[in-house]
Amino acid sequence: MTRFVVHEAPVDGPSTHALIVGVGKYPNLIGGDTPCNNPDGMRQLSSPPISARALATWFVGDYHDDDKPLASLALLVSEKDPQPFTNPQTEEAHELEDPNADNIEAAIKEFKARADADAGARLLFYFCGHGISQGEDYALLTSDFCSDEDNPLQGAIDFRKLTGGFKKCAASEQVFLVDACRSNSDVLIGESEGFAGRVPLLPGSRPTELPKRLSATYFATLAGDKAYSRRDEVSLFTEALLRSLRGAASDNPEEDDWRVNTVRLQEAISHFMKEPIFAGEVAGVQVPVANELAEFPLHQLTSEPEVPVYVGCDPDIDSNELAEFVCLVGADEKGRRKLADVDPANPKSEWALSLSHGDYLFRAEFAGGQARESNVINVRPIHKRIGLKVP
Amino acid sequence: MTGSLNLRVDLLFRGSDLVDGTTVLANIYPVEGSADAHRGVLIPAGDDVPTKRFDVNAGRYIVEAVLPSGKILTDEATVGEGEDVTVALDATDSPHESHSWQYFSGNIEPRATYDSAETIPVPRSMSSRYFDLAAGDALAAPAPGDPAAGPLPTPDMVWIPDSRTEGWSFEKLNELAGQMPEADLARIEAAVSEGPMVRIADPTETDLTSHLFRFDHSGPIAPPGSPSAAGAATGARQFVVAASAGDAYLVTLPNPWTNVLDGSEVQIELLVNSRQSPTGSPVAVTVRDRALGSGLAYLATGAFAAAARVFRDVEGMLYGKVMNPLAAAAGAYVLVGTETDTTPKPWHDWLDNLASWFGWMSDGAVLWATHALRGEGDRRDDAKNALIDAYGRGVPFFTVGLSWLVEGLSEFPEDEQCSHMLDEVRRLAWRIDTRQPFVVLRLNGRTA
Repeated sequence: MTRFVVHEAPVDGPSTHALIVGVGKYPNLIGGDTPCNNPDGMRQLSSPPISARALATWFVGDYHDDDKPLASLALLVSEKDPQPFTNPQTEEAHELEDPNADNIEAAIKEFKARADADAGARLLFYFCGHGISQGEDYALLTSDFCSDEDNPLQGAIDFRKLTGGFKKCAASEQVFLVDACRSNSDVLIGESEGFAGRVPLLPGSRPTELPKRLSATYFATLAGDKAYSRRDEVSLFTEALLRSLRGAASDNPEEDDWRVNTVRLQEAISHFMKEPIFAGEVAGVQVPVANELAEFPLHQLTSEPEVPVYVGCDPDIDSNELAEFVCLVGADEKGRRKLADVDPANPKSEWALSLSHGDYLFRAEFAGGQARESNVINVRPIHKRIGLKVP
Repeated sequence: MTGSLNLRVDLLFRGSDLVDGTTVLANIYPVEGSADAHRGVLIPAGDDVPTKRFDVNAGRYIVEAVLPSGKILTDEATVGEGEDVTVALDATDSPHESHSWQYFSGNIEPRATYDSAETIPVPRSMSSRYFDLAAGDALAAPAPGDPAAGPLPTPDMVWIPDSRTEGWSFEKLNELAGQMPEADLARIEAAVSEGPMVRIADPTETDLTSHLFRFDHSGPIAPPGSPSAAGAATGARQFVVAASAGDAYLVTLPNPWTNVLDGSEVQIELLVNSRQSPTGSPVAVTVRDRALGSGLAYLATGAFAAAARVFRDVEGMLYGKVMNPLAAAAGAYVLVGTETDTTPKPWHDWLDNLASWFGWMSDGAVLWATHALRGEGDRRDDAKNALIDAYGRGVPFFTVGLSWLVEGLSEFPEDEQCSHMLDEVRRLAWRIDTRQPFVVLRLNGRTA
């Protein structure tokens, strides 16, 4: 096991390899130990290490694909108070390496070497941290960004060239997830003759002896825009990603076999990011986008999918704050949103809950014994919105 | 089969050209079993359009439609023995009927958001998606919708009915942008336009915040009762310039555009949104094409699989005749982009035609090169030559073409000519709005 790998499992045949990077502590940005002269307004981030850990935990514990089991997962994290990562399968604690440019470059090379072992392999690269972009150029900022004030982007990875470099990697399924701002920086990229960071793998053509490469690239936000998170919590995009993988993005063409594929994943992430009850004031503001998604399966669920459900009164949303909402399976109460649980900051919001795929009844109860109940409703991915008719 | 589900999406389309509506991607899931599922089907969308029938067995079904904006509509229906059940999914929350095509395409927010006076977060920096209409510190200004903001200025709009071939070369446009810290229409005219530019006096429709400019083969469509600005000789490549005191956008106009199903003319619709929208773009171009409009909108969001479903539905019409080479190129982008194997397909021959028949459109050469690089066999040298050819033909019509040109040229780092071209293309790409299907360039500003 190399110094970046926190999970390894022997796999005979095609497998999945993941590299997950979360950069929260930037010593040379605002709030850091040695802030540089021109941090371009960028500060310390609390969310990326939490997000990276959450995704790594999910991968080791819950990722499942009979055709391409997880063979390795590498994790690099920088955070205010460094903590080891505990592998949920082995319970082993791993000290995590700092995601500076040298380490990420080395981790990428090792990652490529692992994914090179089998042309049927799937690789997944995830980055959460600061990012700046200009047109097609996109710099993922490593923890030592701005340590070289003469060339701040020495502390960055050129993402466009990185994906170009992976064309030469044997793995035929390649997934890139970037949870970072794509704000423009005319100074940093535009005035550095287009230098957008280090290039661990030189771009080039895919060797003709390799199978066709299928790639899927997901960005947390539109080019030119910001990505948001809540302090000390998993970022919005990564939370949407995790909830999508847990079921919202799944489909069952074979009836009991629920699978997540690349296209459905994007649709589910987009759904979450449009929901005010999930994304708050940035609902519809942070727009996740994908680049030319090739369609291939990503994950098989081992249990019924978890589906986001929104319950409210229709058409009078003012009644939402006056109703106790109840979820039932037959006569059994599965959940209740009490009046005491109404969000005082947003009293008209719907009741959001997560339910396993299946049939449910929903009821709105009002003072005086009035109630409105739905028919039996099937809850299935991507989401279900229940409007209880109130006269 | 004992019954049927009859599906449509209700949208508030206005205009005789959209009276038959368009299509959107939908899925039908049976609650029990999987035999009666219909995944990836197209259903009609529009204002009171006829439904599409799907024969199914009696039972419960979930119906789901995925709009190009990313919005997902769902409903549940129960079909009894011998019963025909209609499911109409509601997407009528466009800000106005006049703007519903833009709403459908994902370029403008739902009515509740659009009419809200709440402050909208806008990009921190001066990106290609930011239109400084007031030529001031708009970030500090009141949000549109806020009564304190007052009416926003309307941008100057000019139509370039014919353009110089060298006017859309990468070098010329980079040079033009480098010389223009602020909008300068005279300089743009001298560099890009083959003849005099035509000022567009008024939008075809407007709510005083977001303005709609429509075009047909003869040029801008004036609002009812106003004289037309049309009549100029048109060329292979037309543009519109949207300019404020501060910013200038050079907008690719895919004009003329014909419906591949019946050969009828399709209007081009350009939205200039004075509200600094976080979701949409300040300048957005769509074609009001009931056959392919949704496919183009899916394409713009990266939803290639959904776009491919729309284009495959009319594949024979796209490539059977040379009716609309731009539509054929759009279809080729999604077919190349979603191809998962290397087996020969009927449309492969058309890539040769697109590359060789339409010299005014670099997209054909970009498509040919990309397909060659991604396909079987060693066609690197031919692909490189096609990329060099594409560069020589100038900026592609489609944004994805610019992206693929960057990607293709990047595969030849050892080639000096390709490296130089890559540098020019990337520099121009710093100015594009990647959210738009057709190339929209912000010409002014310090990004040079």
